[in-house]
Amino acid sequence: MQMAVMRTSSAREIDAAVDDLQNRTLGELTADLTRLVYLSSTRDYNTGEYQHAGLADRYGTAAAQKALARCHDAVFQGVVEAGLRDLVGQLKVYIASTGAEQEKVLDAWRRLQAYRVLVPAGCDDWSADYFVSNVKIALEAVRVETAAPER
Amino acid sequence: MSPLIIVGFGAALLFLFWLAGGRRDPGSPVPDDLSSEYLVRLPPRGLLARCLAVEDVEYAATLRSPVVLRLLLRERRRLALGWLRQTRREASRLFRLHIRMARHAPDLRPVAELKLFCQVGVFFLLYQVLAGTVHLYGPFRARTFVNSVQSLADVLAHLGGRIAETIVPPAEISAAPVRTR
Repeated sequence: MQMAVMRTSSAREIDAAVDDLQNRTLGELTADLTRLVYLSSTRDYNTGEYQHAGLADRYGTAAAQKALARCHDAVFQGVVEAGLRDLVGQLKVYIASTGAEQEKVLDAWRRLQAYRVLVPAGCDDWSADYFVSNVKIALEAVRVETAAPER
Repeated sequence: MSPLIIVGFGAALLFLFWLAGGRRDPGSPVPDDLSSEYLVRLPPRGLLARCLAVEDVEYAATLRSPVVLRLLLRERRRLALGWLRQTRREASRLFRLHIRMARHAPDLRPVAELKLFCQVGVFFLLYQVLAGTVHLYGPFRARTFVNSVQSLADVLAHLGGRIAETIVPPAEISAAPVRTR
């Protein structure tokens, strides 16, 4: 008998996948914002489904998707509840981790508003708006802090 | 007796007559698929407090950048008003739902209906005052007022609970509790 392509995942499998993700991949990233960018990059923009080959191999596609979605929600919650000072710090860490010129990243984020895709699917409109608004202010704060580093 | 009280009393009576006009027989079925409709859906209340945290303004002030400070205050005002609007929309939705259900309720309780009518009236009056205050003075100076909206959310949750009672039997309410996020 042929196996179903996407079998139903058990709660234990999802928990194990979450632990794996947190201990391996996410643990190596330094700030919540960096983790958030990573997690949302694993989501297919067309289908909204998360994809992670390594995790799917170990725990199955369904468990991997649920684990990624759960981590995405949790990390987003952490970022959205962070104060402005903290968010500015996280933004600086993230920009440094990209290896690109800070001014270029700031400019691209301001113009393209790529941070809008970081919001998880289940997030309510007001929280998403609050997050976007905070990032917008943080981008401006990083620009100001960089222009006057002695302050 | 003041003409305003007479008009208010008349409006309340008309409202009750209108509700009573649509009452259904005790045996007729309750509309289906209302299990999620009577849940109070509001953004997380802790996040509003975070949004209005003074630390953020203090931090923006240390940057000595009028642009950042102006942007922060403008965005916070917009978000606070958005939160208030969402609260009003939710109250309206619940009240409409209640009216829909009450019009078909076999055991209409006029005193309870009048109380609810007054509560909703007070809610909308307070909403107008709060929205006006935030709009004129900004969310931080009006923070104490805005925080009282959180208490209004409790009233709203209570309202949702009462609506739930009118729609489903007690056993089902405990299975699907009224919640605020």
